[in-house]
Amino acid sequence: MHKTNLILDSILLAAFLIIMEPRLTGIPWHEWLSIALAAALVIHLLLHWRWVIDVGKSFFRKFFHRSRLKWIVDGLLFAAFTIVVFTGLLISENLLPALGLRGSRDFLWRNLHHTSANLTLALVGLHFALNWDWVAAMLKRYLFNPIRQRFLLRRATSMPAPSQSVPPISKSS
Amino acid sequence: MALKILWKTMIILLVAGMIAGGFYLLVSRSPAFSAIQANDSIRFEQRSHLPGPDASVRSSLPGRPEFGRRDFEEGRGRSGSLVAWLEIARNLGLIFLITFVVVGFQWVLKKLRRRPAH
Repeated sequence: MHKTNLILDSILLAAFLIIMEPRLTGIPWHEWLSIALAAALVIHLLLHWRWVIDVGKSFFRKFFHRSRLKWIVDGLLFAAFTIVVFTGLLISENLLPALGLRGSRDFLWRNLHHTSANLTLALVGLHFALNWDWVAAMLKRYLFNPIRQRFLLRRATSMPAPSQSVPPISKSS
Repeated sequence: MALKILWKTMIILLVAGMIAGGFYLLVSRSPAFSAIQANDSIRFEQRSHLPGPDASVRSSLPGRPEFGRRDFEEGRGRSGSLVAWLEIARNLGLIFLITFVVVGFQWVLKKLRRRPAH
């Protein structure tokens, strides 16, 4: 379960960073990737559903707790991302025309799209920071430890066997 | 199980819809929105009276006066991809900066709490 979360979250972060830069992908890919990211975010929320409900239910019982801050930041992030997707759909140039609709040309929606995207970036940073303990633990378990073990194993196999280099310790000593 | 997932997805989409709807109402009823729309329609009226070439002269690209840097945004100007990668690196750096500040702040708080009171 943790591994699934780590893989999905890494993909989400990478996709978010790429989507934040439409000059790299071009507008059509930017729009379609954003919809895919929204779908992946729904899966992310479904995977953390129990936590969202549990903290939400007992929100005021232990108000000054770290999980409450996380919950508020996550709620704001969800709202900001929804606004980014919504304003993005309003100014869409490929997705809506593909469905036979016409996007808005208002600069206000364009500005709101950019502002909410920047706000989302800051909230992603906060979300990442508040979950850093988990991220660090998972990276250690699934990335750094296997690399270290492989490195140690390689070093052990490249070194001569202890029986050849070190004389055996006698029982009398 | 599948019904449960569908139900949860519906709730998530419903909440997202409520946020989007509320935001749309908030923006569309604001005085700034109507002022901008009125301004846009005036600009459109003025633009429609201008001959074609003059309108495009004001833009960085011919024929599309309302947008600048369009082919760059559409991904045709690949010479800008290095800039785009730098922007991605900057965004990632920003995320790590926020993480560093917040984790550092938490570490300081933890140290202060552990310090014995005299």
